[in-house]
Amino acid sequence: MKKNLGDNAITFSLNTNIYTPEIIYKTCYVFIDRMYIYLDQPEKNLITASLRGKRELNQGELKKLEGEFFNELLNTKLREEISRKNAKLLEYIVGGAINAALEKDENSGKDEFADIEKEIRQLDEELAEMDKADYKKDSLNIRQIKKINKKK
Amino acid sequence: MAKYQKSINFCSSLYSEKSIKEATNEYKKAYGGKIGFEILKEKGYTQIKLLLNDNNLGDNIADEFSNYLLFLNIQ
Repeated sequence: MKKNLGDNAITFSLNTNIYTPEIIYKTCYVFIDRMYIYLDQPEKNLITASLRGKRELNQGELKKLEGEFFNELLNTKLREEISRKNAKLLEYIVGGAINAALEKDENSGKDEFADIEKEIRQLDEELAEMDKADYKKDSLNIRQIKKINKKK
Repeated sequence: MAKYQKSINFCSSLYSEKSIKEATNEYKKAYGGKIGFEILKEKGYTQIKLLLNDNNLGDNIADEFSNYLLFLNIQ
């Protein structure tokens, strides 16, 4: 990076064999609210990071920030490695959970359908009964009830 | 015609062309006619020329622009 950053800045080099550009980008993101960051790649396996304070910083504060940056690089690298190692396991867990949820949904759908079919059958039977009914038979004995009511 | 100009160089291997175009368009929209942009290709670098009428704007915008560009490259 052909840029003069002034006194309020620190510049350091990072080996891309140890810290991939991905890790460096992610680390930079942590500092983006406090620093202006410029990255450059003067050589194939070397990235230089220049950090300039958004506010005025003294030498002690700049050194501290450099230390924090390197610690964050390690932190990011470790997180990346853990997630890479656990990627398969996570895939299995999420896949298993989705499968279980899908199976449950399919079964509950079948039950619901069976219930609806049962209700339709019952209604059909009731309708058939109603068709067979003959008001002359007076199965509820309505004539008798009317007579009693008249006497009262 | 802009009175001042400020150049920033971004390494092409670290800052993608797509993100540079996106950032430039966003800044054009945000600042309207206050800033002009020129994109030049050098060997391994993309040079952004900020064309300004107010020189005080230059440093701040260059810094913010480079952070925004970094943010776009992280996504």
